[in-house]
Amino acid sequence: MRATELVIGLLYFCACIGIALYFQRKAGKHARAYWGAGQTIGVWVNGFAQFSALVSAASFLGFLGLCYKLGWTFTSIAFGVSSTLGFVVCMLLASGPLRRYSQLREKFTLSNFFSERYGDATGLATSIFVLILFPAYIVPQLMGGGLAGAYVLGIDFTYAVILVGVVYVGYVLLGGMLSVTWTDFLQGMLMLGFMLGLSLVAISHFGGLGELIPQALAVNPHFLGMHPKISPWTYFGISVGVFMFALSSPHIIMRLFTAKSVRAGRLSLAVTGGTSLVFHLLGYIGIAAAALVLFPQLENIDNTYIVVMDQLFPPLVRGLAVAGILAAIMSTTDAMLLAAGAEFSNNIYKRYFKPGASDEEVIRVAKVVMAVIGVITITLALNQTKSIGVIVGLLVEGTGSAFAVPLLAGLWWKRANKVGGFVSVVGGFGTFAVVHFMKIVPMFAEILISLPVSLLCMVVGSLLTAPPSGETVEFVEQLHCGE
Amino acid sequence: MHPGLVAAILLFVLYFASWFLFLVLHPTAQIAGVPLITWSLIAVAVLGIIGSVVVTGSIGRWENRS
Repeated sequence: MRATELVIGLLYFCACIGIALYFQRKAGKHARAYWGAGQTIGVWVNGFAQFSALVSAASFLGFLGLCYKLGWTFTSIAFGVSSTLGFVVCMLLASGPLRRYSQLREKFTLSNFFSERYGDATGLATSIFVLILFPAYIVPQLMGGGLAGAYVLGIDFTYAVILVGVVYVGYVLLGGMLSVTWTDFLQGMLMLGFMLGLSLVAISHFGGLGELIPQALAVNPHFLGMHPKISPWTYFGISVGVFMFALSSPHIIMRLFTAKSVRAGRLSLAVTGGTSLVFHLLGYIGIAAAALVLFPQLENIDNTYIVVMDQLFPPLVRGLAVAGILAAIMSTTDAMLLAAGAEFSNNIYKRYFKPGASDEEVIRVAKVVMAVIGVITITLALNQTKSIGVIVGLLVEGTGSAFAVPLLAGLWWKRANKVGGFVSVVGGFGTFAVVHFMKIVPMFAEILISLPVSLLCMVVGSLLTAPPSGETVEFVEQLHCGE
Repeated sequence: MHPGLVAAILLFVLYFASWFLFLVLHPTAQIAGVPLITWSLIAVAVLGIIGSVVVTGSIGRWENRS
């Protein structure tokens, strides 16, 4: 057991639970407060909270492992540049209208918007996909928690996963969006600090990038370039996938609804985009290069961050860095759990089972759903054998395939109608699943087929059927009007 | 036209043009050992962040006018 790291990890957990308890009083009773954080969140807090929701176990463990194995160009293109562009386009096209939508209708999920824009069937399909995708996304987070927990506590991976899972689910149940946003803000700064911090320490340890990179290239000659064993379509596909994910993922869209104004929501996305770019480009290069030099034959590439940290940081800083990893896992897990709970309670329970349910009852149902998802995901994490980076990469692409086209068309194309929306969501996700399982294209290139299919479904479905009602057109126009 | 829409279209064009130019037409082009596609996409991302902040005011004015 590593005592210093353990103490710091425990302090970190206690701080998160403390924040949840503090905000519990403010966030308990009304939908606007629980799901929308009272729409009081400013630019920097929301910017870092969104960054936290994006950065996950995959960013600290899985993707960094891919950088070690496939090179810096792969992760820079796939995760740094593409997520930044996704946030920027979201800021330009989606953030303002969606923030106005939440203000007008007091609704806080993407499927609420789809229900209103495209009808109940599309809203239900969206909820179902979120309830499939997001718990699956939580699984690799808990695996990452298990790796970090096992490192710190020296306990078995199984117990580490259970411990981390129970703490995370517990604090989301307590506080809702307000506590999640504030803890995510702190976690975002922690993650950025420790990713860049370790990278800079690694670079200076080797006497600068000019010394480090040639040594890394001696171990992996493709560290800076395109890896010859990876198809160019994989590079293009993962880039488009992450782009579309950052633009349309429901757990990030939910954060736009919490902004205190349309302008604050927009600027927060610029903060998120800039932070993500620096994190993935500057953070990864030093750590992955140092790992190549220090551990040329690393067996489990998911451990890249942990082995470099273990080598270069003193115990006290190691403890804080482990807290950074736990923060990455926690911030994504809580956002996903919250989004899945909101989908079920607001869009399935309240709509189909009990339309007259009060806000309090809906929140209670959401908490039960989140607890159940917590138990299921902990169980799945204990039995998962795939690499964290691969699982997350696929889920990211599935999400982008389903939601990006209907989101943009719903906001910007007045002719988009119920049929177009429904076939676009279902067609995009269905095509992604079919292409992936039939292995028609290289890994991560599935979205290059599923996204155009989603677009085609939207255009053909809308143009071949009756245009949307005047009321719907007016609703879309309203979303683009200022104060 | 909505300034955000114009900026987004411009970014999409630059993004896909980068892929076409440096992955299809000049896949081996490099600067300092890093492929040009990487440099090009990084430049598009930085331009996107700066441009989006600059254009925020115009979007607000456009929306308030409409």
